[in-house]
Order: sequence, then structure tokens, then C-alpha cells
Amino acid sequence: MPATDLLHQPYGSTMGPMIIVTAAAFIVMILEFLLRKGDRRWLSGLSLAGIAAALVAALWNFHHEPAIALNTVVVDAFGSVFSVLILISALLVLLFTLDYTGRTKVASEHTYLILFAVVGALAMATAVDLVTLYVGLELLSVASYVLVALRRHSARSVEAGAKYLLMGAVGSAVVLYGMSFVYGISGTTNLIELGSNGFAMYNNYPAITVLAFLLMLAGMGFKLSLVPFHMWTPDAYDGAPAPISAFLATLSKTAAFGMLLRMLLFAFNAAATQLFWWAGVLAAVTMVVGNLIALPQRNMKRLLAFSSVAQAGYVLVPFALIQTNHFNDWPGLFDSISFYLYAYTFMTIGAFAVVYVVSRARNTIDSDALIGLYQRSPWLAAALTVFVLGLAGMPLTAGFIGKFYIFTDTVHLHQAWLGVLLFLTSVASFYYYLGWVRKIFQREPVGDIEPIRASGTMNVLVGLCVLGTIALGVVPAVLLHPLLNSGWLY
Amino acid sequence: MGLVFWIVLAPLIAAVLILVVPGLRAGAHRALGLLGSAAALVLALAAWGRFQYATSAYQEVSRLHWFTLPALWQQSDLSIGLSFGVDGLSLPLVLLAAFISLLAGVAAPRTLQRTRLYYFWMELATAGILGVFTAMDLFTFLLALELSLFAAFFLIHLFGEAGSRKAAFKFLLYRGLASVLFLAALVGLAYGAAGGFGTTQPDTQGIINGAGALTFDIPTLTDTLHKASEAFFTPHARSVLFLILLLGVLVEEAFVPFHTWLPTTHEFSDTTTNMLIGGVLTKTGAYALLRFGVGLLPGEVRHWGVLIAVLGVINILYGAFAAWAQKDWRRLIAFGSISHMGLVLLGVAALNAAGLQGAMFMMVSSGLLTALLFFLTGAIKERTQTALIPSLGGLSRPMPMLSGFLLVAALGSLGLPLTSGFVSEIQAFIGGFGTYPAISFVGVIGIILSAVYLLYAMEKTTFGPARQSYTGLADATPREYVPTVVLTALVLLIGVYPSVIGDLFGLSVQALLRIGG
Repeated sequence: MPATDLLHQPYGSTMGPMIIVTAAAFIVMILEFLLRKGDRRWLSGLSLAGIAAALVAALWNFHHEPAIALNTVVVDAFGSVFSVLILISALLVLLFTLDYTGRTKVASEHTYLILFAVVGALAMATAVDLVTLYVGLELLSVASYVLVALRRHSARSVEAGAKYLLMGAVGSAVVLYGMSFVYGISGTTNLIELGSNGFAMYNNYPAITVLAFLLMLAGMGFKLSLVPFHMWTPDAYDGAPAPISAFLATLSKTAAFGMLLRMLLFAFNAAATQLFWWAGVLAAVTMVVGNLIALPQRNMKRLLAFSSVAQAGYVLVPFALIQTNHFNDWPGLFDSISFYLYAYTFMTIGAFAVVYVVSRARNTIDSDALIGLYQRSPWLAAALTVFVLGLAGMPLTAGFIGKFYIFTDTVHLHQAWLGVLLFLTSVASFYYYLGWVRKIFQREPVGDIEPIRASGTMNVLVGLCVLGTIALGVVPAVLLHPLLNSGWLY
Repeated sequence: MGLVFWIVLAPLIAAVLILVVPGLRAGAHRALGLLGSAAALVLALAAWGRFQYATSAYQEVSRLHWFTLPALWQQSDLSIGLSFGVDGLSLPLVLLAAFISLLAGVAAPRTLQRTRLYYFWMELATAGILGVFTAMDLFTFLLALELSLFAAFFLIHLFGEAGSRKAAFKFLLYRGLASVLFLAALVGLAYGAAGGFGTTQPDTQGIINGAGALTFDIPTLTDTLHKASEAFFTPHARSVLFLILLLGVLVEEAFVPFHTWLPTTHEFSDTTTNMLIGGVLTKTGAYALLRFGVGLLPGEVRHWGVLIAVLGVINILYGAFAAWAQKDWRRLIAFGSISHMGLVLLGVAALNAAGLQGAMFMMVSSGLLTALLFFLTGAIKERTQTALIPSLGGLSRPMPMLSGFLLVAALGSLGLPLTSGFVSEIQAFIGGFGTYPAISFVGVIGIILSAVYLLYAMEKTTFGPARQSYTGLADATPREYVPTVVLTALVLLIGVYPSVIGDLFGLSVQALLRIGG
């Protein structure tokens, strides 16, 4: 590429959000060193402002014509949809940490670590080169390892961090191994090139293609905690600070799903019919096992961890449908994947937030802490009920529309067994989700009941999540309409 | 907005008001709840008054567009909305549901705790059930079914007796499974009608109007599938879809061998919840069989007719024998209702006018009688603290009125002439004999059995020497007379003058048969 061309690339649109968040991260990091302890409070405000600015930039990109910079980073509807969701989750998680750090002593580096993780996540959503994608993945992962172990003085937090580090590193290595095979048989790491002349390369090396596909799927499976790569999930979620658990369950998974989808779709579309059914197998196993192991859980954070495993299985169902190879149908699959991820993000962050408030007030993480919540705080009780009913797929919440949408996709693409399995395993999940609702509305037997009050920040956070869950359930058109009109891929 | 829309909305509004208006007393919750059900009943009666008997089409239609699922099928979008309407098949059940809901609300004891939650879930369940019966759209149907499922779960769970937790989860898992099966079958049918499983892709010009476009609208689907169901499905696909639907109906209706949840649920729930579940919630599956089985896949009903008829007779007999063996009144009523609903299967399998009419009559009659029986045995249990038949006895002396009405309910249930039970049984059996004489003959034994188990239980409960502890007990209070008298009057009204509801579904049944033939 001639040097003059370097000046004429659409950097602003493709990398705008990333540049803003990176700038915010560095400023926060430097100020962190310079400022004294008491003055650091407003750094959180600065990070929030940075994320908000990036969110505006990402929303702006919806109207931008698809473009590519340096053959590496694109602006297209696919990237924008995922970027916006990543930034929304980042905003919610930052609000969460604001309350958390006000009460618990944690290492103060968390603010800019989250920002760097967001930069990695944005790269995973918008890059079209295997190397750049991998760099994004590592940026997100390394920041997450530290975030999980943030409570340095808690043995459980450190243990969780160590477990996550080991498993995450294995996952990253496996992804990289798969990528190296793709490079080996195609001679390029650029997804656009892979997408346009995949046929010839794969016809020559069918076995290696399957191997590469499976390695990349399995490696990302660690990040997405798909069964059988989910073992670290309950320990990491349980040991990590509450906002970081929410972060792992939503933002990190959104980015990983975005990367997985773009990577597999571009690199393997030529062999889609032979390969993507593997995703169906993985989805089926994840839905069944994830829901079954959640049944006996009493620890609320661990239950949410297993629930997030099962939910990842639901999102993976549309991946399996790519095998039908109707190019025309693919946009519908992107719609259902991204709709479900939006729904899932609001419900999950909200659930983690309420669980955190309740478990801190009652001083236990056992789900019996929920007993009598209706009397202690009607507002939190109602909110948590909305979240878990949403996760269970109750009508009038975002969860139902999301599942219904995925289900109609499966029927239409003749893989109805996956859709039926989705709803069957959801019925099993009623058991544990409604078990919570039952405890919430159960009366506390002892006479003296102390009300639970959440801080203003937490109330705002929970309110936003309730709004998202119900709005997407009652007027799904607010999200479906923009999805419908987006051109999706570059 | 059509009238029917408000029938569903009225209880929903009441539920929301009960939940959000702060500082209400128990009396206000009760008043709001009753108001919601009463409004639904008045509107349903108004819909009855305005009913056009000359058409089998949906009436009082309201359609609300909700959202669009993009590019689902051949680049065409699927419009999702809420559509409500009534026709001859649904109006009798809407009336039944509205009556039972109001009477159950009246029947709730004054001593009830947590009235806010109770009437909230009660009104929500009512709205769900009314929505199921009035849905003109598959999505609306499934949505309303889920709503009634969750609401009933909480009614059982929060207000049942000790041990209701297990019963509630059993209820939830079985009915949830049924919902999933319905979902699979119905969405599959919609895709089929759009050409999804065709032997050949449907002609894009359209031999049939609307083919190739995906729709959840029930009238459109009925129309499309009737004209040429062979064009849309391979025989294999049709059978699979129908069997999934039938399996859903069996689970939903607690038919043998998927019946175990119903007796458990009834045993552990409180009286009013039992009235609602036994009275109307266990009619949704049979309604789905009529609406979607006979309505959309009549050829399959004919093809699998023997299977359905045999299942029906198994249920008639098994339910009756099992009821005979029960010691608890509530379990006895539950098995009796299973036995009755078996007759609905027989009537549907017959696929003739008498059979389908009998099925409709039986759904309404069984709903009224089951609710009445649950209410009366509940009232007795309130006084004697037990519903176990061996522990009761001689109740006709301290409470002659309650015992008398219980006898009327039992006689109606065993099909005495001049009660609704008689009309239903005779019609369903005439239908059954018309198509499957041998199978129906075996089923008739069930009538004898129902006389045995009901009279046996009556004798143990009301006759014989009165126990010492029961002598001072009071008879029915004025509040208890309301549901008792109204339900008994309806049972007798239908028994004496069946056309009062028979005329409603007469034409709709004819329309179903035209389709089937």
C-alpha cells in the first residue's frame, strides 16, 4: 500500500469508537498514577463519559456506508450492532463497579482495565483479519484475567483468576492453532480474501479445513463457556467481584459471539453445509447439560453462571442453521442472534445486580437470601422477577421474543429439533428460575424484617435493565426494525 | 376495537390495578378482582347477545399489529400481532371461563391471606384462559397459553396446602411440555401452509390465494389448508405434525398416561384454584384439538381416528376405575374429569355432527360440574377439615343444603337426564356409535362405572350415622349459595334446553365437517 493511501483511509468511521475508548483508557491510566487517592473518584465519571462518547460514535455508524480501513477494520451493520451492544454493556458494568468499589476494597486499576477490555471487544466486533481479531481477543482476555482476581486479598478471587487464566489461555491457544491452519492452507489471514476464494482452497484440503473449523469453534467455546468447555465458569463467576461476573457473562460473550460468527462465516462459508452442523451438536449439548447442572444449585452466582452457559447454547442455535446454506436466510440468523444477545445482556446484568444487592444485605450468597424479598424491597423483588422470568422465556419479556425468533428460524430452516430442544430445556429451566420467584414471594417466617435499600446508582442500573427487558418484550420493533434495515456485512 | 378484545383486557386491567395501586385493603383487592371478572362476563354475555347465528366465521374481530419478524420465509416477513374474535366453537367456552372465574372469585374465603397476590394471579389466569379461547392467531394463542400456565402455577404454589410446591412444579413441567409441543406443531403448520414442507414448492402465482406467504392468522390458515392440504405437506410431514399436536393435547388435558399431574394438582390446591383449573384450564387442550386438529388437519383426524377413539375409551375407563379407588374427594373429581374428557376424544374421533357437538357439550358440562363439585367438597372440607371420604359420613343431617347440591352435582356428573351431563354423554356416544360402534360399546361401560364411584362416594359422605364431631356444623352461608345456585342452574338449563348453547356451535360444527368431508 503506498504511503499516500494511508492518509486516505476511513479511520474515523471504522475505528472511531475504538479510538475514543483507547484514549479514555490511557488518560484514566495516567491520571490514576498522578492523582492522589481522594481525587480518583471522578475517574469513573471520565470512563463513563468515554464509553458514552464511543456509544454515540457507534450509533452514528449505523448510517454510514460500509467501508474498510487498511484492509483490516470495517464499518458495517454487523460491527455496529455488536459494538453498540458491547458499549451498552460496558456502560452498565461501569455503573455496577461504581457502586461496588464504593463498598468493597479492590485494586483501583479496574477502571482502565475494563476500558482496555472494551477496546479488545470492539476490535473483535469490527476486525476482518485473523491477526487483528486475535489481538482483540487477547486484549479482552488478559484484562479479564486480572479483573477476576481483582480482590487480591481474597483467596477465592485469586483462585478464580488463576483458573480463568489457565482455561482462557488454553482456549486462546486453541483458537490460534486453528487460525494457523487456515493461514497454512490459504496463505492469507484476511477474511475478505478468504471469503471470496475459499472454495478452491478447501477442496484441496478438506480434512485440515474440518480440523481448523473445530479448533476455532472449540477455542471460542472456552470463552463462551460452551459445554464441555464450561468447567471454569461457576468458579470464576463465583470468585470474581460481582460486576466482573456480569462483565464476563455479557460483554465478553457478546464480543466472542461476534468474533466467532464473522470469523467462521468468512473463512468457512464455502464449506458451510459440511461444517456448521458441529455448532448444532455443541448447542444441543450446551442447552441440555447447562440446564441440568443448574437444577440443584443453591448459590445464586453459580446458578447465574450455569444459566449463562445454557443461554449461550440458545444463542449458538442459529449458528447451526448456517449449514443450510441459503445465503438469503443468513441475515435473518444475524437478526435472531443479535436480538437474543441484546435481550440476554439486559436480563443478565440486571439479575447479577439484584443478586449482588441482596446477597450483600443478607450477608449470604445462598438463594435462601431471597426469601421475603417481596417484603424487604418490592421494587427489587419485582425487578428480579422480571429478569428471571425473562431468562426463562416468559411472554412479554425480551427472552420470549428472542427464543421465539430463534425457534421460527429453526423450523424454517428444517432443523426444528434444535428449536424444540431449546424450548424443552427452557421448560427444565423453569424449575430453577421459578424457584427463585417462589422464594422472592415467600413470606419471611421471623417477625422482624429489615428493608433492603439499594444505592441510587444501583437503582438506575436495575431500572435501565428492567426497561430494556420489558421494552424488547413488549415493543420488539424498536430493535427488530433497525436490524431488519441493516445491510449486515461489508 | 371489537368487543372480544375488551373481554380479554378487562381482567388484565384489573390485575394491573391490583398490583400497582398502593395502600389497598383486602376488600379492595377482592372488589377489583371481582370487577375484572364481572366485566369479562358482562362483555361475554353481550357478545352472546350480538352473536350472528347465520355464519361460522369469526365475529367481533380485533386485530392489533405488534411487530414484524423480518425475512423469515422466502424473503417475506412474518407479521406478529394480537388478534381476538369469537366463533361458535369459542363463545361457549368464553362464557364458561367468564362464569367460572367470577364464581371462583366470589367463592374465595374471607379469611384469605395475601389477597393482592391472589387476585392478581387469578385475574391474570382468567385473562390468559380467555385469550386462549378467543385467539385468532397462533402467536396470540401460544402467548395466552403461557400466561395462564404461569399464573396457575403461582396460584397452586402460593395458595395451596402444605406440599403444594411439588404439585406446582409438576403442573408447570407437564403443562410447559404441552406448550412446547403445541408451539412446535402450530409453527410447523404455519410453515407448512406457506409451502415449507411441500412435495413441490407452491405455485408462486398461487393456485390458492395467500400460499407462499407465511401467516399465523387462524382463519387464513384454515382456509388455505382446507383447500389443498396435500399440496403443502408430504403425508409424512402431515402425520408427524398431527401426532406432535395430539401428544400436546394428551399432556395438556392430563390424558392417560400423562395424567398424573392433574390429581396431584387438585389434591394440593385450594378450592378456588381447583375450580379454575378443573373448570376451564383443563379444557384448553380439547379446544386446541378441535380448533387445530379438526380445523386444520381433518384428514389426519380421520386417518388416526381409531387411535384417538381407543385413547378416548381407555381414558373413560381408566379414569372411572381410578376414581373408584380414590379416598380423597378431590382426587376422585380429578379422575372423574379425566374420564369425562375421554368422551371428548371419542366424539372428536367420530368426526360427525353428533360427535363434535357432544364434545363441545361435554367440555362445557364437565367444566360446570367439575367446578361445582370442587366448590361443594371444598365447602365441606372447610367445615370438617378433611376431604377424605372414609372420614366423612352422615353430613346430610348437619348440612342438608350442601349435601343436596352435592347430590345434584354427582347426578349431573353421572349423566342423569335433564342435566348437562346427559346431553353431552348421549350426543358423544351417538356420534361414537356412528363411526366406531365396537369401540364406543366398550366406552359405555364407563357410564355404569361413573354411577358406581359417584354414588358410592355420595353414600359414604352424606348418608349413614353422623359423626359426633360433625353434628354442630353450619350449613351453606349466603355467600356460598351464589356459586352453588348459579352453577346448578346452568347445569340444569343446558340439560333442559340444550339449544341454549347448542345453537351457538351448530353451524361451526357443520363448517368443520364440510372441511373434513
